[in-house]
Formats: sequence, structure tokens, C-alpha cells
Amino acid sequence: MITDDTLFAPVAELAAQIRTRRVSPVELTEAYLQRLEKVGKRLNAVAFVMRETALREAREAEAEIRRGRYRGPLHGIPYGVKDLIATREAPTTWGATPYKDQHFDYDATVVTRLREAGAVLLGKLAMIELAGGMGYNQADASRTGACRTPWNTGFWSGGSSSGPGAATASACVAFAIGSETSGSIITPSAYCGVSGLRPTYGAVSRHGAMALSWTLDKLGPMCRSALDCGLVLSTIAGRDPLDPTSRSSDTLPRYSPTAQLLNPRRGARRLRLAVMKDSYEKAQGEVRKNFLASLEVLRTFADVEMDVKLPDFPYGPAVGTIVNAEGASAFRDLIESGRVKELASPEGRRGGFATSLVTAVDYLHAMRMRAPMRRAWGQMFKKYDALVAPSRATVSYPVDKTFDKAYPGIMASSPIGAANLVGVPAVSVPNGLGQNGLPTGIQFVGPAWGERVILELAVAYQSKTDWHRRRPPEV
Amino acid sequence: MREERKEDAVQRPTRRRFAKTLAAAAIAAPVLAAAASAQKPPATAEPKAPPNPQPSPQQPPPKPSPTAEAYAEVARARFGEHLGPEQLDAVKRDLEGNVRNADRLRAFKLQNSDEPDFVFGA
Repeated sequence: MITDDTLFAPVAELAAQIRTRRVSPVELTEAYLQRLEKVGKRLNAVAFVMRETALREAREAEAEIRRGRYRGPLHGIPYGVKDLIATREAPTTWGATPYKDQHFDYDATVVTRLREAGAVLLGKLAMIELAGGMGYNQADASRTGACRTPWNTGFWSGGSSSGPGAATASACVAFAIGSETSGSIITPSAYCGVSGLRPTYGAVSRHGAMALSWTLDKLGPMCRSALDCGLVLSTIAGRDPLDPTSRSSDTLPRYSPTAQLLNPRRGARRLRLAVMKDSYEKAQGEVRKNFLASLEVLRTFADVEMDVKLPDFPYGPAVGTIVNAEGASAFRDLIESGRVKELASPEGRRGGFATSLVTAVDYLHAMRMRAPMRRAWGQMFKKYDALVAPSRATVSYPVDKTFDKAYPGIMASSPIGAANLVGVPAVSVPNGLGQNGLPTGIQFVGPAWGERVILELAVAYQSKTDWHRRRPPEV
Repeated sequence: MREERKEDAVQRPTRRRFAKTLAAAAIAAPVLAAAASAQKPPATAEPKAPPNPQPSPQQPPPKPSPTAEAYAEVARARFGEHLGPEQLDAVKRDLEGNVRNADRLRAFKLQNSDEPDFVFGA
């Protein structure tokens, strides 16, 4: 009998139970499938359930473990992927009606690597259409409708990795793979109260993932603990000949079969944290209060410097120009054929016509700024181990309002766009509850290939708090 | 040496030109979409955010500049068959966003030696 306690357990705990044969991967998979089909669909978190293939993979995992061949902490663990990740055994719709019948005859590298680790793919999870690449201003900008956070189903789960956030928070999967071009892992992680890691650009192969912006897209894990994010990252990261931008790095965390970190940071030096200026002062009241409380926790094991300015660059115009130009190119056929009219969002139905007219010179200007930006951020990270900020300035938006009507007057800066431009990693973890019982989050941003340090920080924070252990009431 | 010169180029003009708009620059990142435009005070409101991978709340429509009007004519010529009058007006506002983005990019001076941050291999 699989209990809710088991379904809500972090991967590291599930793995220990599977390894010692106290939990059957087949029973666990069946229990998650039932929950995905019931709770997941109620939240609009599901694009496609892969029941048959999931049970087949679970039976294979169980038999293998019984024979004494335990592959590691993800062996027999059920998970889901955002519906922009190609799978041979199920449609891949990119969350958008024009692609509702799309099938690929191959698996994305991330799926292949998870299968090799023995993980069990339960299905494809809902997302904002085309990862928001054509623009949107409402929660139901998706082929599958508005995906809801299980913390309060009148509110959105965030985007564009909407399903991965909601499904992970509601224990419909043990973990999920999302993607981020500029905020699409950090945002739903915050709105759903889960731990989400946006890896360094190039750490995880993009092969088989929908391209919105080739120079910004990243795939990453969304889990119920920061440690789980490390476990999944260590499985999916590394050079892939099918993605020439992918790389391997010795600095990424590696784990033993019993989920012990094999390459911890050397020395006992206290970590130095920079709190981003303007990121919290004018955020929503509860966001600010929870953030300041989190800083007190961090001060017990790290040095915290307040109000550190980011290097001065026009991040917003740069990231906007790059996403617009690369997205218009990636979806040129869709835009010029007029089939964008099939999208759910009014903004998406017209957005590509303006982005198609971004000039090549402006795009190149933005791309030329990225090297000086990276150098300036490299300098900043010589002084600090990580940058800290609220994950989002507000809690989630109500599903029955357009976003611009939700919280007028709230103003705060965020490192999300800038950090995505320079390709550095970040992890968001829950740090409290705000308006309407909705979660808030704190994000740790590190230098390129600095996942080990930001995960160390997040794990240490979670060892002193229990926000990641809280369960949403509406599931 | 080249690095130092580049760093100078990066720091000086940006501090002069963008110090006042740093916060706005960060929140204007399409990122924030929601946060972005919606969280900006009216005095610094940008034109409607262009399509982006995060929620993009609407702003009161800015008056399109002559450049945006000209781009709108290009949009009409290229995509007019797919656009009704209301959509064309909305596209015009989006194009004003492109124009303002370009203005802010242009204000950031680059050296001749600053190459685009991607590598072509043969």
C-alpha cells in the first residue's frame, strides 16, 4: 500500500526505500499514475499520460533491482516531462493547438539519460503554448487550459513549465523536467512551492527540446527538495554530441548510489551572499517578510551583504530582442502561414508579426553585449558565492484575471532576465506562504557552472526550514 | 589589455546612461513579464512588452513613433492578410516596443572588437 506520505516524499527518500526493496517501483508507478489521472487532470497539469510504457518501464526497473542491479538514486523513480520534450512513445504538442498531432520518432537526450538511470516516465506535462514565445497575458494561454497551483486552485501554477510545477507540488510525479528561456523554471517553482533548478547554459543537452531561443533555452529539474534537484541534474547533465552547445564539467555535483555528494566543496569557508538591491524592498508585503526571514536563516551559516547592485547593462531590451528574434525565426513558418491564429492567447495570435521585424543589427547588438555582461558578472562572482533575491515579487496570479490586472503597483527588480542572458544557474526554493495561502520563494543565483554551491546553500537552508515539506491543501 | 579596454567600455557609458534605469532594466526583462511591466511605476512604463517567454501584462498603449508607424506599414505589407484593423493597431504598439528596445540597445556603446556571443565552426 503506497501512502500519501510516500508519494510526497523527496526522491532521495523514495530511492532509499526502493533500493532496500521496501517500496515496489511498479506499485509506486501505479499510485502516481492514478494521482496524475485524477489530481493532475483536475489541475490541468497533464498533456498526455503514458500509462502502458510507464508500467513497462517500472516492471523492468523492479526486475532489475530484484536481480541486484541497482542503477542509482533515480532507479524506479516515476517522473514527468514538460510537453516540449520529444518522446517517441507519446505526442509532443509544445502546449499549442497547431502542434496537437505532432509526433517525434526519437527521444530527447534528457529522456534517454533518465531512462538509462532507470527512471520511469509517467507522461507529458502541460505548459504555456510555445513556452510563451509568442507572448501571453493570461493563465489559459495553453492548449490544455489554465494550469492551477494546488495551493489554491483559483490561482495559476506559473509558466511556462506550468504542469511540471503543479504535478510535482501535488505529488502526481516524484520530479519533473521543465525548461527555462527566461524564468520558466523559477516562476512555477515559486508559485507551486517546489524546488527548481535552472542549470548553467549548456550543462544539459537541449537535443529533442522545442527551440524557442537557441542561445537562452535550458532544461532543468523541478523537485520537492534542493537535494533532489542535484540528483536529477547529475543524471541529465553532460556533453551530448547531438547538442554542440552542451559541455561536461567536473564542478557539477556528483552523487553515490545512496545519494551522498561525492565531490563536496573544499574547505570550510563561510559562503558569501549578495542580496540583490531593489529585489525585495517593494515586493509584495508577504514576499518581503518571508525573504527577510529567510536571510536570518542564511546568516546562521553564511555572510550576507545587503543591497548589492547588478552590473549596469540594459538587460531587459537585450533579452527581449534576442528571444523575439530567435523565436520569430524558430516559428517563422507558423507566423507567416497565419496559423498563429490557432493559439489560445490573443497576444500570441499577433505577437510574431512584430517580432519578425526585429532587425538583424539590433539582434547582433544584443548578442555582442553578452560577452561584456558575462565578464562583469564573472567579476561580481569573485566577490560573492551567490546572489540572493525573492524568486518572484508577488505570489501567483488569479486564473480569472489577466496578469496586468492582478497586482497593480507592485514593483521590484529581479535577476531572472539578466542571469539568463549570462547563462548562469539558479535554484528557487519555497520560503513561506503569502496572500491566499500561496507559496513564496527565494532564489540563489551562482556563477557559471556553480550549481554545487547554490545547491549547497539551498540544501543548508532546507535543513533549517520545513517549507519544502509542507503539502498543498487542495489535493 | 584588450580585456581592460572592453571593461572600461562596458562600465563607463553604462554607469552614465543607465544608472537611473537599472531597476527598470532588470524588471523590464521579458522575464518578469508580469512583474515587469505590471510592476513598473507609471512614470517609467514601457510600451507593451513584446512577446516573451514569461507572462506579458499589457500597458496603456503608447503613441507609436514615426519609426513604429513605418514598421507598421511593413507589417501591413508582409502580414496584412492575417491581420484585422484591431490586430494591426496592436502590432503597431508591439513595434513601438521593438523601437524602444532598439533605442536602449543602441545607447550601449560597443567596441569594434566586441563579437556576437556565439561561435560558428566550420
